[in-house]
Amino acid sequence: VVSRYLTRCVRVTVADDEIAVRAIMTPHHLNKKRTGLTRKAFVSPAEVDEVSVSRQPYVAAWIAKLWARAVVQSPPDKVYVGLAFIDVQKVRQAGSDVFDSRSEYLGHGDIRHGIVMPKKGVPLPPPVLLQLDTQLDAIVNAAHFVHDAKPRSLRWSE
Amino acid sequence: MTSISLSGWDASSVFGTLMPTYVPPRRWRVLWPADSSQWIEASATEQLDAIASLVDDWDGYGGAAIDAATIAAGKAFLSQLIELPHSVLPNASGTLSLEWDSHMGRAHLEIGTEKFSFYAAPRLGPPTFLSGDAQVDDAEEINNALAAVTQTSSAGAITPSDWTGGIALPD
Repeated sequence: VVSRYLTRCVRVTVADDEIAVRAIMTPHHLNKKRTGLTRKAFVSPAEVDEVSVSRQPYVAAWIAKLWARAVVQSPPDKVYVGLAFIDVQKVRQAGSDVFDSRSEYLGHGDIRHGIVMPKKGVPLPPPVLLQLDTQLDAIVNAAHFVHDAKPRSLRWSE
Repeated sequence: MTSISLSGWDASSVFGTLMPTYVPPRRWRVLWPADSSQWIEASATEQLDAIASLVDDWDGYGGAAIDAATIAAGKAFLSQLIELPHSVLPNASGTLSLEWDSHMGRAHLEIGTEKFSFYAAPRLGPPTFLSGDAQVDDAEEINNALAAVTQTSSAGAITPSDWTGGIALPD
């Protein structure tokens, strides 16, 4: 009963005023100065158009951090360094969209750019690559990256 | 009375033979990872070597490993480009990206196992699109397009004497 109630509390439609949270990993999600994001922070894997995010109204930042450290990161190649927060409205203004994907976990969402990535090892056609980069640049510029000063702590404090 | 000073000694050298090196369990290593800043400071070729060692799911979101053929093509491109890329990054789809970004524009060379895609988008003027075989012998077209978005001139690009009417500028 509690599960059903919680499921109903999470709206299937992602509203414009929601905030999407993306876990950021070194080294490939950060620029050389390690101060800002690269486009790779919001790129989909092969053959899909899904960039995993958490929906801030339903998933607290400390849970997103815990998930990133326990499940996503894999040292030493891939280390959690912080969270990126972005307004869903700004994602949509960039030409992408955010959808609910609760099959992953309740409060999980996907950014979709409208461009399904090709098979493994196949590059995108140049005009599509430019289109995707333009959208990604807009998302990166709109995202607010918070470098986690205490990545080992279980708490999240901005 | 004789005193023994341990200044300059550390516990491991004193007790090294008695205390075995402690290796934290896997779960702890996940929570306290090593720093990865060395990757950021590496050269483009070293970054390619590091990228070659990535395994499937390297980004935690299902990223595909980069094939050896793609890495080899990336190194071949690097040896022919007039301007080294500002960033060398793997893609989750198993390709490799060489990117340039300056006040004059941006360019992106995506290298796959067999093919490459390239665009150069200057701030002013239309973008240039190129694609072809990843085992490229001559990157002249790419270099010419790169010259429009970076400050490096290449053969065929505009030189200072072109825009001064042949008058040499003082050094």
